[in-house]
Amino acid sequence: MRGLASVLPYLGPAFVASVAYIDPGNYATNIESGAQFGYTLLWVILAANLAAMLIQSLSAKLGIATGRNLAELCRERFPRPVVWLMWIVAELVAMATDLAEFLGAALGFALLFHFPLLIGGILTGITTFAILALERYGHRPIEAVITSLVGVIAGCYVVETVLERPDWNAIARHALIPEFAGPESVLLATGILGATVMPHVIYLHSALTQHRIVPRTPAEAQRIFRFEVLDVVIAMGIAGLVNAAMLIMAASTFHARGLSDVGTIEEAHRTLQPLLGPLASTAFALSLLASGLSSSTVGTMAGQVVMQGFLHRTIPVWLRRGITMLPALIAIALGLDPTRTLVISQVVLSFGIPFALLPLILFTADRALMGALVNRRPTTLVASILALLIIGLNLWLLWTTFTGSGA
Amino acid sequence: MSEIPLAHILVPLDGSSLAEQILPVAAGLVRACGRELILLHVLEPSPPERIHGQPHLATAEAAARYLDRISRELAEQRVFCRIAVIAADNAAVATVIARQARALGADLIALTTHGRGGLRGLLFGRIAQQVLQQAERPTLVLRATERSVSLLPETPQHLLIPLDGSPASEHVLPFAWQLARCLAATVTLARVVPTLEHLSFSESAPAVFLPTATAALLELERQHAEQDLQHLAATAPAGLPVTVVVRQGDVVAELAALATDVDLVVMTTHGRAGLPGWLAGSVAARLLERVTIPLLLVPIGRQETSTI
Repeated sequence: MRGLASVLPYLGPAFVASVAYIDPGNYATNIESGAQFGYTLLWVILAANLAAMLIQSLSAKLGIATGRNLAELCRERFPRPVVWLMWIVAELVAMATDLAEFLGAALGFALLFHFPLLIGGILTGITTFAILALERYGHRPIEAVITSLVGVIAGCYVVETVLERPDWNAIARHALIPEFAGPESVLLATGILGATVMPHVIYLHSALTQHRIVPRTPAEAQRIFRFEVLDVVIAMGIAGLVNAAMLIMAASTFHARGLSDVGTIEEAHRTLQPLLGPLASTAFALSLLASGLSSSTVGTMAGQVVMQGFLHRTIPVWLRRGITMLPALIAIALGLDPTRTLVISQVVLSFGIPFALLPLILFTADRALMGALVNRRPTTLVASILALLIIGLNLWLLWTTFTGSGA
Repeated sequence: MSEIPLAHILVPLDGSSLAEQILPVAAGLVRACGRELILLHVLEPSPPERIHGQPHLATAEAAARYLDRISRELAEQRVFCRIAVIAADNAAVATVIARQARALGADLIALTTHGRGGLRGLLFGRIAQQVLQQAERPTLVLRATERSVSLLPETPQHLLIPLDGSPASEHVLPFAWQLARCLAATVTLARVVPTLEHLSFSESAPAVFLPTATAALLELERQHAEQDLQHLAATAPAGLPVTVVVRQGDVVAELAALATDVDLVVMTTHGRAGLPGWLAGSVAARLLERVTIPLLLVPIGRQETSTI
């Protein structure tokens, strides 16, 4: 890389991509974490982001080197029962992802128009079907609208954080020093990890070369891989900055004022009041709605990639759409607390990460499979340690949840 | 007879001038590359009185008279025809056409399709589609338009062959080379590489997260496409004028634009999902809606039996 000048042309597209990483799952985990624990969990955002950058790059690399996606390679190389298990986990993860996106959009509708949540859910269902139908026929203008809505709010959070003059020393300390504050903080940390790494995106990254050409020479493969790393690092970097800003604003709006229990998605628009004033609640609801709708569409496509890869089977997109929105509608109908449900769904994602990460490490370390793009030893080592840490965190969470013992 | 790829061309006619619109091209093809047209009318058990706003052929006698008249007019142009009137009984018209194509040894089915003209129009459009799926042989389709029907044979002089980079799409080549040679036509091999905005919906999901990598990959694909087309053009028989063109953008729109300079599109098609490339989508159907020239669709797997 030859300095900033060589990266500038990519900032635009990468910024747009960063918005795709920010979904209602992030909103919920950021707001909850900031409200309940102040800056304490900032380090999780940083760590999860670095982890995600590594994992997504590995996945992208796998796609370029092999021309096949992660799910397809698993099908080729693992015994059938393992493939089925992995597929089931991937579908559960897809459902958890969609639960969050759908719930986020439903909340967006409810907050925007002051509807009951169930009406918001039904509206979300109708809207997502409409988007699918339009996109199938090649109408993509909605994407631009959605991206700009989320982008504006993302920008607002970053600007606010700067204007707020927070305690940068405390921020730096908490961003670098790992620390928990009881079982609930472990739960939220796991949620942040799930919301940042997003297992379905791991599968998607490996599907870039799907049905298209595969680089023919090591030089071409390296070139495409460099662009992928650039995409991942820039987009995730921006997304991480926004997530951190959201957490910081939640900390100063709720935690600093002793309002830890009020820090829910329904109240989260208050975090925007310092900058947007009376517009805050509308702006927040709109961006929540937009991020939910757009991520949901991407999630549906990811689900198709995963199923096609694992089973060599597809179901109609609208059918998948219909099935994956059911848990969300049920959760709404049961009257579950939306913020809590969102956080738990992200924890489920975190439990799904190892199922994608372990085969990913296995494959990318295989020289026969990867050719010139095979992992260097340190890469495999770091990724393996990361996998152990994630599994450890998940187990620790289970332990603290069932025994109730603190960190 | 490898020199005659289209010896027998089956032309189903329902008595309407819309259906007759396929006749000039079918006649042109058979005169240059074949032996005879088989003019077929399928008698429906309870035919409507009018079709496409014209009196329908209600009886076997009326149908035979009609086909005979067409046959005599074409004979004046040195195009030779056989006529057949078949009762559909309870089978669907498309099934009867496909079955007759096999029974009569047709190498090609030629028919008009259109989505307009009320219910019958819709049905006829559907018949064309069903024939494509059931016939397992090359099918020449032309979208009916407001044009005056002439029976003067038109011989295609410039063929457009869209390829998508998949081996499946290239199956059409041996057939196309042979066709071009007996028509003494020129050939354009075309490939459209999408841009970021024109990726298909399912391909756009990874592109959401990896925009610059996707753009770089598509640029690489464009470069490869140039090389691949040159390579494929080299497989043409000696003396056949072949040009190659790579465009970027929306597949259907770009192909439609290219089609304005040619008079026949020859491409692979299939009835199943799950194949790579844009063949798997509905490119042929969407292209047909955009162009006024005929499409010669060759089903995958056909090349083993129809070519050298």
